[in-house]
Amino acid sequence: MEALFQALLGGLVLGLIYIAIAVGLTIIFGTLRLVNFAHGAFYAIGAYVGLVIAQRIGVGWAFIAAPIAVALFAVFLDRFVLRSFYEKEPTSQLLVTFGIALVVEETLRLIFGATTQQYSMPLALQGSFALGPITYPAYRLLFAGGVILMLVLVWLFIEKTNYGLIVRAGIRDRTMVQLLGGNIRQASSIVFALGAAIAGLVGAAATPIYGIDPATGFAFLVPSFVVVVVGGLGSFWGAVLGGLLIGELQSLTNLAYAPASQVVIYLCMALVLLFRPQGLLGESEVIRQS
Amino acid sequence: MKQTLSRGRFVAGTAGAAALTFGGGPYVIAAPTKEITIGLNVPQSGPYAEQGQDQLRAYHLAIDEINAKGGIMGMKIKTTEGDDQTKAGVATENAQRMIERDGAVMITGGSSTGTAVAVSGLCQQKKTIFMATLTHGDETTNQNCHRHTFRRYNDAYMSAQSLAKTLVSKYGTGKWFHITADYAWGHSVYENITAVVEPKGAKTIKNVLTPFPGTKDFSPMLQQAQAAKPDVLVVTEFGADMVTCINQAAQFGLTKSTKILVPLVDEYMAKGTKDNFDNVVSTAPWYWQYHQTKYPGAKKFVDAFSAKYPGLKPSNGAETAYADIYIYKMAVEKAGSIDPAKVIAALEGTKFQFTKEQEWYRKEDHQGVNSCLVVEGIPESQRGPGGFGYAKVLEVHDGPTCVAPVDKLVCKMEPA
Amino acid sequence: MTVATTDATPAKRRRGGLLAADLRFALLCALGIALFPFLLHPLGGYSTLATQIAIVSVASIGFNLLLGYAGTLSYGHAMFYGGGGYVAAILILRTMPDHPNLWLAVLGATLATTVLAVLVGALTVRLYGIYFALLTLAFAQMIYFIVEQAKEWTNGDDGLQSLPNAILPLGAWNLDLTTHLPDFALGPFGNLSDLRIWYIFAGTCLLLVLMFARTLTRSQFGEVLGAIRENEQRSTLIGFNAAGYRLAAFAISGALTGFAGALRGLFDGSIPVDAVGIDRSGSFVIYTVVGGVQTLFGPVAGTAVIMFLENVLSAKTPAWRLIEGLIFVGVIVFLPRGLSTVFKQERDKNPRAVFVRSLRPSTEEPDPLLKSVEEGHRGGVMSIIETFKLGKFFGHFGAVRDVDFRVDPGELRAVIGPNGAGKTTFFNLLSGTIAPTAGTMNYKGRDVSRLSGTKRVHLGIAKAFQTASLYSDQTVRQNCRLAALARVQGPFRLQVLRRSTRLDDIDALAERALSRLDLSGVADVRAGDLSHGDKKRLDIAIALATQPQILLLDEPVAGMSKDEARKTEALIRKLSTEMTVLVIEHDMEMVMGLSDSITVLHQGTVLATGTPAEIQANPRVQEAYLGGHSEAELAH
Repeated sequence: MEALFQALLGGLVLGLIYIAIAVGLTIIFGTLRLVNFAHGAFYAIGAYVGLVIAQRIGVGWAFIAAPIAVALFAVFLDRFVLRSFYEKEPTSQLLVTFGIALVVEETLRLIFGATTQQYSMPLALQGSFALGPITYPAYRLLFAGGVILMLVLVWLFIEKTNYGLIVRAGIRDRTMVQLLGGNIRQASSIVFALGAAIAGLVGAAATPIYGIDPATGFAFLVPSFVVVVVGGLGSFWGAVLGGLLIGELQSLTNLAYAPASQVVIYLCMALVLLFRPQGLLGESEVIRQS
Repeated sequence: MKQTLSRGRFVAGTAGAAALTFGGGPYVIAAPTKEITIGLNVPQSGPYAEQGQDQLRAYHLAIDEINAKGGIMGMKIKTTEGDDQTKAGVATENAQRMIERDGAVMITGGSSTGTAVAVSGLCQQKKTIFMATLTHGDETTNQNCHRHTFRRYNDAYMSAQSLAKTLVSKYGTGKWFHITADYAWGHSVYENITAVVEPKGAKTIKNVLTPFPGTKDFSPMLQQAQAAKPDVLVVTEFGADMVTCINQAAQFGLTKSTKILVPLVDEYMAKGTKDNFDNVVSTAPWYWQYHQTKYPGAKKFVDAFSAKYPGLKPSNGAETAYADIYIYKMAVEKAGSIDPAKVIAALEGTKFQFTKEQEWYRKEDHQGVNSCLVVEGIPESQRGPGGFGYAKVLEVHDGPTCVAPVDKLVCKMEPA
Repeated sequence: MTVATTDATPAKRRRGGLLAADLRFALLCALGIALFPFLLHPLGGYSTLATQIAIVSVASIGFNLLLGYAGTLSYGHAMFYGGGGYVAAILILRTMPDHPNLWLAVLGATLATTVLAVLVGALTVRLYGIYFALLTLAFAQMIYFIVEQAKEWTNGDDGLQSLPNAILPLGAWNLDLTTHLPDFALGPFGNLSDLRIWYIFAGTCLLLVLMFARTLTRSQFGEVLGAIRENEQRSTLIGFNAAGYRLAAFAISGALTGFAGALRGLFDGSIPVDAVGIDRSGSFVIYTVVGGVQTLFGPVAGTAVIMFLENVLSAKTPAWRLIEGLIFVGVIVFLPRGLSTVFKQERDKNPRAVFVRSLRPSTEEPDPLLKSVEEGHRGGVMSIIETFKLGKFFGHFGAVRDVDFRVDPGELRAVIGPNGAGKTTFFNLLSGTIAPTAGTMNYKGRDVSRLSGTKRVHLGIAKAFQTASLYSDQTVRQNCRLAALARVQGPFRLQVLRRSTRLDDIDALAERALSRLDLSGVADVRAGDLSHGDKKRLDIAIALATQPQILLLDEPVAGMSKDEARKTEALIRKLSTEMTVLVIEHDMEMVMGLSDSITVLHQGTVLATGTPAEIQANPRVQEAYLGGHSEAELAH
C-alpha cells in the first residue's frame, strides 16, 4: 500500500517534468506549426547551465541563468536556422530538429564529458517530509510545487495576456490572425523562447533529482512527445492530462514489472495513434486519410 | 541538375577532406621485428565512462614504462583506442577494426560483461588474445569462456563468497532487499549472493530490477525498499548508475536506516557518492591504500601513477589494466613469440606477481585466481586529498578460497 | 510544342535505347562496387568495412524508397534491420547449426520482415507525417523490448554471438564466403587477398538491388508512388489508393532492410541488441539524407561516407559524432531551395517526359471518352445521383442538412447559393472526400454513402477542385496521363517492373482530355508554370481523363477573365452533351445561360430546384440572396 502511494507520488513528479516539456512542445507547434525534435536539447542545456552556475555561484542563480541561457539559444535557432522550416511539412522539420538535437548532445558531451553529474541542494532542502506512512524527499515535493506554479503562470499567459490571445487564435487560424494585423511573427518568437525557457528551467531544477548527462535531454524528449500525442498536439490541457497519465503509467509499471516501464509508454502512444490519433483533447485535424 | 551537383560535391568534398586529414598512408600490419599494436577497447561514454578513462591512464602508464625500457622483446608497443560506449555491438566493431585495420595482436579493456562476452567471441574468431579488464559477471569465464580470453578481475561468485563470509555472521538471518541492474552481470551477482546467504538463513524479501542502461530515477525501487524496511539493502549497480542510486537512496534516508551492500565498487563510485558511501559494505579486487603498504610492486605502481597524473590515485580498474599489460609482456617473453597459441600456453598456470600477491590464471577457464577484499566506506572527511582513500578493509579473502570450484564450471573451452 | 515522330520504328529504337541505358547503368555500378574496397584502402579503410558498407547500403536504399520516393519518414526501420538479423541468426542456430545454409537463412529473414512490414504498415499507413514517424518509432521500441526480454531466443541484452559461418550452396559446390581471394599485391591499394568472397556476394546483392530500385522507381508503380507523394489529395481523387501504395512501399522497404540486416548479421557473425535500437533507426535517416533522398546513389554514397567517417574518425577524435551531426544539419539547411522542395522535386529525370508518344491523327478510333455516355444511357432514365436526407455536421454546426437531391443522366445542373450555403461541403460529400453524418447517397441506384472517394472515381464520379489541385512539377500531359493511368490500371497495381508507357490507352485518353479542354498547345509545359485559367482547365481535364460519368466542377471559372470564362463555359457545355455535369457557380449570367436546371442551397439545405426561369422567379431565392430573412420564413 505504501509502495503504491509512493509510486503515485513518484509518477506525479515524473509526470510534471513531462508536462513541462510537452507544454513547450505543444505551444510551439500551435503557433509555429513546428515539430521540434530538438526540445530535449533545451532541457539539457538548461540542466548543464544550471549545474555550472550552481557549482560556481549558487543554486538560486542557477534557476535564473538556466532559462535565460536557453531562451537566448532558442532565439538564435529561431532567427538563423529554423526560419525557413516553419510551415513546411513535418518531415523536414523533424529531420532538421533531429539534427540540431544531435549536434547539441555531442557538443555537450565534448564540453562536459559523458558521465552523469549532479549538484546538491542546499542543506536546508535536503531532508524528507513524513507524509503519513512514508517519508518523501523534500526537494522533490518542492520541485513538484514549483513546476505546478510555473504551469499556472504559463496558462495565465496564454489565457489572459494579449500575446496569449494571439497564440490561441494562431492555433486556430494562423492566416486570419495575420490578416487581422496580429503580429504573429513576434508572438511566435516569444512563444518559442518561452517554450524553450520552460524546458531549460525544468532541466536545471530536475538535475539534483536525476542528474544530467548529454543523453538525458533526448531521454526525456521521447516520452514528452508521447505525452503530446496522447494529449493532443496543440492542446495545453492535453499536455497536462497526457503528462499525468504517462508519468503515472510509467511509475506504476516500474512497481509491477520494471523492465516494461519504457515500452509501456510506447504501447500507450501506439494505441492512441491507432484509435484516436488526434489525442484525448486534441483538435480533430485531418491526420487520417479519407 | 544544379542541386545534385552541389550536394554531390559537398559529400565528395567531405570525404576528400576526411581522407586528407585522417587517411595518410595505409595502415600496415607492423613488421614483427619493429613494433606491435595493442587495442584498448574501453568505455569513454555512457555510465562507465569514468572507469574507462582510468583504465586508459593506467594502460598508457604501463606502456610508456615498458617502451622506455625497450618494449616487449625489443618491440615497441603501439596502441589504438576505441570507445565501446558500453554497447556490445560497438565494442565488437571496435575490436574488429583494431585487429583488421590496425593489426592489433592483443585486445584489452572492458566495461560490462555484455561487451566483454561479445568481444571475447570476436577475438576467438580472429584468434587474437583478449585480456578482459572490467568484467565481473561469471559468464566471461564460465558460460561464455573462450580459449583466447583471460580475465584477471574477480568474478561475481568470488565477490559473493567473500561478502557472505564476512557479513553472514552479523546479518545472516536478516531480511535482504535487492535492487539489481537488469542485465547479465546483475543477475549473476544476485544469484551468487542469494545462493550463499539464503542457506544461512537470510530472507530475500524482493528483487527489484532496474532497466539497464538508462535508469535515471531509482526512486520507485528505493521507495519499495524503504517500505519493506529490510536489514540489508543490496544495490547491484555499477559506475554512474550506482552513484545515482546511492545518492537518491540518501534522499530517502536509506543510507542511515539500513545496511547497504554494493557488490563491487571502485574509487570513482565512492567519490561520486561522497558521504553517502559511509558505512556501505562492498568488495574490490584491489585497493591502493591497502596494497601499497603490503606489496612493493603496488607501491611502485601507485607512486608512478600519481607522478604521471598528479592528484589522482589509481582505481582498481586502473590496476588491472596496468597489470594486464605487464602480464602480457611476461607471457610473450616466456613464450618467446607473439603467436597466440604459445602465449596462451605461457599464461595458463604461470604464477606471477606485480601489484598484488602471487597469482595465476586457471587453465580450465582462464579466470585469474587472486584475492578479494571486503571493504567498508568511511566518512568523506577521513578520505584524504581527492577522496581516494574511501574505505577501510574489513577482510581479505585469498583467491583459492573464494574462486568457483572447477567441478561446478560449465565452461567448455575450444581445443588448443 | 514539338511532338515526336509518328511512325513505329523510333519506338523500337527508343526501347533499345532504354535497354542500353540500363546496361550502362549496371556496368557503371558494377565497376564502382568492384573498385570500392581498393580505393578505400589508402584512405585507411579495410575490407571488412567495405563489405559492411555494401550491406548497409542495401538497407539505406530500402529506407530511401520510403523516405525519398513515397515521401514518408519512418523512425523505426531498425525493427526490420535488426529483426532480419535476429531471424537469420536464430534460424541458423536452431535449425541448421551444422550446415548453415545462407540462402535459407536470408530468405527466411526477408520473409519474416516483409510480413512484419505488412502488419505494421497496415496499421500505420493511414497516418501522416509525424504521426506515422512516431508510430513506427513506437513499434520499433516494442520490438526492441521483445528482443530484450525473449532471452531464450535472443540472448537479451548480450545479443547473439559466435554464429557459425554461413555457407552458400551453389549447385554442387558449397561456397564458404569467408574464403579469402588469392594473393595479388596492388601497391597502395592493398592486396587482393584482403578481400573475402563475402564482398563479391555483398557487392552482387547491392548491384541487383540498385537495378531493382532503378526499375521500380521508373515503373508504373513508382510513377504512381511519386504522384501520391507530390499531391496526395489529387491522387486520391483520380482513383489511386494512396494507403495501398504506401503500404506496398513500406513492405518493399522493410523487406530490403530486413534482407540487409540478415546479411550483416551473418557477415559479422553476431547480432548486438542495438541492431534493433533507436540509434540504428536514426542512422538510416542520417545516411539517406546526407547522401541525397530521391536519388539512387544517394543512399549508397551517404552510407559509405558516414560509415567511413565513423570508423576512421572515431579512432581519432571523440568529436566524431558531432562532425556527423554538423554534416547532417548542414546538408538539410544549406540546400539551395530548402528541404521540402527537394522532397517535392522530381529528381530522377523521367525519360517519359522526353519520349512523347505520337498523336494518332486518324478519327477511326472511337472517342475513348464517349464510352462513358453509352454506359450511362444504357439503363434507361434512372437518376445518376440521388441523395436522401444527406447531412454533414461538424460538431453542432450543420454545414449540410437534410438534403434531398436528384440529378438525371446528361443534365447540366448548377448548384448555387450565398456564401456559406454548404455548396463545397455538398460536393465533398458527393465526391467522397468527407463522409456524411446523416442520410444516404445513391449512385445509379446503388448506395455509395460509405464508399471512399477513390472508389467513387472508379465508379465514374470525378471532381475538379475550387483551387486547382495539380502535379505542379509535371507536364500538363503527364498530369492527364496520371489520371488516365488510374482509370486504366485501377486503384492499385503492383507493377514494379514495367513502365506505364507500354499502356497505349493511357495516351489516347490523356490526349483526348487535353484537346477537349483546349490544352493541347501547352501539353509539354510544366503545370506549375501555367496561367491561372489554364490551371483551372487542367484540373478539369484531369478529372475528365478518368472517364467519368458525372463531373463535379467547383467554381470552374473563378478567377478567370471574362473571355476565358466564356471559352471555358463553351467547353463545359460541350462536355455536358456526353456526360452529367454538376457545377458550383457564382456567375449568374453563366448559370442562367448554361444550365439545364439549378439547385439552390441555403444554410445547408435545398431551397429550391428548377429550370433557370423558375429559379429566377422564385421569391424565396431572391430573399435568400438579399439576406435578412429568418430561416423559419424561408423553410418550406
